[in-house]
Amino acid sequence: MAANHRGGDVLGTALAQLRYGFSLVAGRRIRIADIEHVVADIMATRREFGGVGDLREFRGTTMAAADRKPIDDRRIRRLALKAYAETTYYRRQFDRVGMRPEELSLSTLERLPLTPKEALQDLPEAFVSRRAQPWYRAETTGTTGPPTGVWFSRYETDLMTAMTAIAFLVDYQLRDEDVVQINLSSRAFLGIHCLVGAASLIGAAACSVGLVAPEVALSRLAGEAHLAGRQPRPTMLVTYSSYLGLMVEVGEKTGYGAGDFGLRQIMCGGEILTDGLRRRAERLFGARIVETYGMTEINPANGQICAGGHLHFNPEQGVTEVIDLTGARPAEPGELGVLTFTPVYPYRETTLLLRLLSGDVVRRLPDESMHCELAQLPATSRLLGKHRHLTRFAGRLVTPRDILELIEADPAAILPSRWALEEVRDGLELHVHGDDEGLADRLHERGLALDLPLGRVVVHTGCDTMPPAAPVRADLRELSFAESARRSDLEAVR
Amino acid sequence: MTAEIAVLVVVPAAAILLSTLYFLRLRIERPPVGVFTLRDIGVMMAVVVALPVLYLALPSFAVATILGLMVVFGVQLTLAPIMTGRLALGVAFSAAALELTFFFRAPDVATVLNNLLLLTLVVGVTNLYVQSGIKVRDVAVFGALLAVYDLVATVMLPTMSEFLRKTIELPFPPVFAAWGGPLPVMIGLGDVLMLTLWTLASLKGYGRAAGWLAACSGLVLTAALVAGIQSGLLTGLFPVTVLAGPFMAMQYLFWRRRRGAEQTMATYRGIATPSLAAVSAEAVDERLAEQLLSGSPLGRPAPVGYSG
Repeated sequence: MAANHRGGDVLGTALAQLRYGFSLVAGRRIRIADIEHVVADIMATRREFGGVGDLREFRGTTMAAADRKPIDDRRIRRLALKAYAETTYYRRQFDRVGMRPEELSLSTLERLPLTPKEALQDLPEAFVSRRAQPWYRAETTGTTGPPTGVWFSRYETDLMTAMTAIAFLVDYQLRDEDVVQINLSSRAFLGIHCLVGAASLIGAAACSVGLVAPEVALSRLAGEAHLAGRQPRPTMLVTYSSYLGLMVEVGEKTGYGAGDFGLRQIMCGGEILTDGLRRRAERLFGARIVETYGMTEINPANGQICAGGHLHFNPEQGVTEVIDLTGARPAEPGELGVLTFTPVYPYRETTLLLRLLSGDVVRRLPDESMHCELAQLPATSRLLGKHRHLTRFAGRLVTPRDILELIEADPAAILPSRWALEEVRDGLELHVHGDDEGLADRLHERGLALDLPLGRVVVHTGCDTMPPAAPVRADLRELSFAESARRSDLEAVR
Repeated sequence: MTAEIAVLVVVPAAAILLSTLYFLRLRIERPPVGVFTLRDIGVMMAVVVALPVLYLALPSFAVATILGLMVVFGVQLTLAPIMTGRLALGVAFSAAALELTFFFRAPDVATVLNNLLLLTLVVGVTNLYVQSGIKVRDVAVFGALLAVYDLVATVMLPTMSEFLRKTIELPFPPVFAAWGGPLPVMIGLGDVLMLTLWTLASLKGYGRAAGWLAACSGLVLTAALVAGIQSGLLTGLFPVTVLAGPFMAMQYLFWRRRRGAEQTMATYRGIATPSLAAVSAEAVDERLAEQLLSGSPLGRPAPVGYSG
């Protein structure tokens, strides 16, 4: 729609923003047309002035936490009443603990039990509002557990698309001549649909290439497609960290360089992005890497990582808690905890979730004020890994990020990293897939310097000799007919 | 200097000069997102039509309060880039309070002060519009619409004369005035705003020559009015935009034909827009033709990983 709406219109913009703000405060549906109007206006402003002004209000950075509290209380209460009246799961949950939904607020949130992810996996329909019109059941990729199904309405999807367009404009400065290449699992249809739709609102082009052989993905990035009014090569890449690592590994080996690509930026999320991978990717592609955090279950809520390395969440989209690793209480400042989300209306109206335990571990930051560009938004440390992948040894808790940062800081690391930890008598034994002679010694030395309880590092030239490593999204390879036929032949021979 | 020259020539000239200097040197705060469009012109036109009717319906005290607040916030807007927001507001309020005091004690001084405050307001408001991206086309359309409105409201209907009769007796009247005889010589705030806005928009949209033409044509028009008054040809109210509006429309069409599409603010300020390496349709056609002729059945080598 925005491609047809030329945008501008100072008074219209002001009205659209007022209506949007009113929707949030009054708890009414957001008019998608208002957000699309703002998208068109941002583009018109950029055309006229060569840039836009301070857009912090579009990131929800303008209200202090104390001022937000009455609004958040009202929204949580409204969500609780809706969830109680309209979902099977939460009616039983509130009744089981003897709590009335109107009692729920920021201060009493802890009285409501956490919602384990397994509950949503087992029966997604128990969380669907009876009054909603479910349109699409999105499935997570399930790399870290069984896939989870989450129902969304058409309205929610259109809203996510419009909000993604705003993010494209505000955070990525996407332009109408840009081309977005999407290398995500084809099962992530909802995410791809929103990305392609958002590009369309801006007038940019998009292509969904999938998790194909990295050589194919690289050739698409480096190849030229001549279309009038478009950059000849993709200017933005959207992918997972592990698949980015795979492309970096193959790209470096086959001799690609920054001059072969037209990328300006890479949106990377879904998994831990290490500083080592970031450096290698930026060097290979000559593009800025923007790290994001998101989960299908809490869409459209997501996290942004600032220049200071904090993971920030927009309180307009929901309540984010950090629960300690036992699940009993909020994590203390400096303590590790699990991210827990309560997405609120009007962003979510179909699958209602209260205190969903994500399984993602972060460190709660000290309460002193931050000075980054997103300082007004609540923040935690970057993602440290999954709760089930934490390893405790001799009083020290080792996170997947600890290991990944250690491995991927080494320029000889094979990407994506495959690793496993085994507990032995004198420490943890780290098994790593690699082919460099000195890798084991270097990792061991660096690990000890980082105070990791590593007894030994064992480098395996093949993954088949390693203990099982956690799967990564790059493993969700989409095979060509030839590759599939080759695999069938191999299996037949075995 | 006669009152007619002072009000009808010097005031618009001063407004144009000061606004242009302000435009060249200072940045006024504009909304982060949004550009003026014809839709905004439509809304402005609706306000222009509704305001006099509203003022005539309201009691004088209310009208004076609204006019006073408009002056205060207009002056504050102009001064904000030069001093802190609070100081600008303080200066604006103080000046307005001073005018109000003189209104009761020394009306001649109040008239001079009102002229100065309105001049300040004109500088800020015209810069707000132009620095917020209003186009030459938009101002030309607005001018043409105002010409029609002014003809109706001033010549055919008593709206503007009644409006003027009411507001000239109040503090903060929306007119520049000077006393040179039994009756004051006046030019409306809106007329000076339009002449100034037209000059700035032309300067930004089509460059210096257009800016000069706009300024000179406006001043020639007002000088002609002076000649008309002094010769006795013109008496009573004369709607300036009835002549200025069509002049603006003609100038726009002239520049449009001569120079094509008008400049954006980014182009005017020489802000480098991101490189548009995206190719034209002709260049794309040429490259695709080369690829088709390059030999393979599909016109290019098979992409890596493709094997049918």
